[in-house]
Amino acid sequence: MTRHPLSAVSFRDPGGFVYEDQGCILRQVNFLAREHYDQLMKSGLYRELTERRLLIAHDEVDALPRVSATAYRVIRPEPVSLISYPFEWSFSQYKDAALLTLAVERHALRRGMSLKDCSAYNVQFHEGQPILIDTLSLEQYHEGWPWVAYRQFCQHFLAPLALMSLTDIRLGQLCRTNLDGIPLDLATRLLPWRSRGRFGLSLHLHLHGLVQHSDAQTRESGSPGRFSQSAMLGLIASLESTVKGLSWKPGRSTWVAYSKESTYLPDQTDQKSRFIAEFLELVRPASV
Amino acid sequence: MVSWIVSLAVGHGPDVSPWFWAYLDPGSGSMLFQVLIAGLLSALFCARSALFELKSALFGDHEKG
Repeated sequence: MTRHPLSAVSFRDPGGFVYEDQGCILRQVNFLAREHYDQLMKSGLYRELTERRLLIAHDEVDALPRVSATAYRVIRPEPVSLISYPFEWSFSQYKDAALLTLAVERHALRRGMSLKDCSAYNVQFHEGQPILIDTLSLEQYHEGWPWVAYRQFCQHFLAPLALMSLTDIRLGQLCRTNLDGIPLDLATRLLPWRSRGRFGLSLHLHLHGLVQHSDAQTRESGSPGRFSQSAMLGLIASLESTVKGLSWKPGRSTWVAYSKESTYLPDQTDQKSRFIAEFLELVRPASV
Repeated sequence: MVSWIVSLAVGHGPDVSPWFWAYLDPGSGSMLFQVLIAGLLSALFCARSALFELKSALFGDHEKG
């Protein structure tokens, strides 16, 4: 049952949810997430991440929880002035968001925690830098377990970046229609053959996609084993170097050299600046 | 069922916290894939760490990876 508009966008996590109270965005932390939240706060991870501006800072407040029966804490995250979505980001923004997510995971592992969720929608650009806004996506690290958010990272970050870099920049728009990331079988079909020559893409997209595709067979033939912490750190390092290896150079278009080749003469540029200044004075917007 | 199969594959019993599974479907294929490439990833990590140590010893490079 959706009782509040914000509940509709914050319904999957049993650990808590976001709601609005008197114009203030709050997050309820449920008892179910108590251990994870306490470890985040007490292990030093929260301080480390917020000092490095990797995670949005918050205050614990006495506000009335939305659902009292399940509430452990209510926190008020630092407000983000502009909300943007992955399909609106430039290539470099997307890449920065991916590297931020991996940096958070690396820091979290050192403190016995891990990201349970790697949605690109959990990253926002705040004060010119990407920042993780989902405080509750950090959970206690399960020793010996693979990374639960690996598939989501590949679908939300690696596949769009690889497609934008190696196939066509406009394929970033596939995120509009694939809200849980681009399916790996689709990504590998759209990627050029030469992408198989890159170790990271071969491993994390092509081979990974193949295993996902033949899921039923793999379940039966997969050999038992544990996933050590060094394997986890190796996975993060491998994803980081794969993301860093992706680049995009703008081709020829009307807008590439627009500022240099525009039709504005110097006095016209001044006239436009004056007009915008007068307009801002008239409208007085909260932010520009 | 899927969580039970994957829990067996990674060497745990099926008594995994419901917390772990309630939120996000990690994809059983993705979980198994990670287990399959774990050795490779560990070797890469060890090689990378050794290279970093060697560089630090030779050039006094304290850059964090």
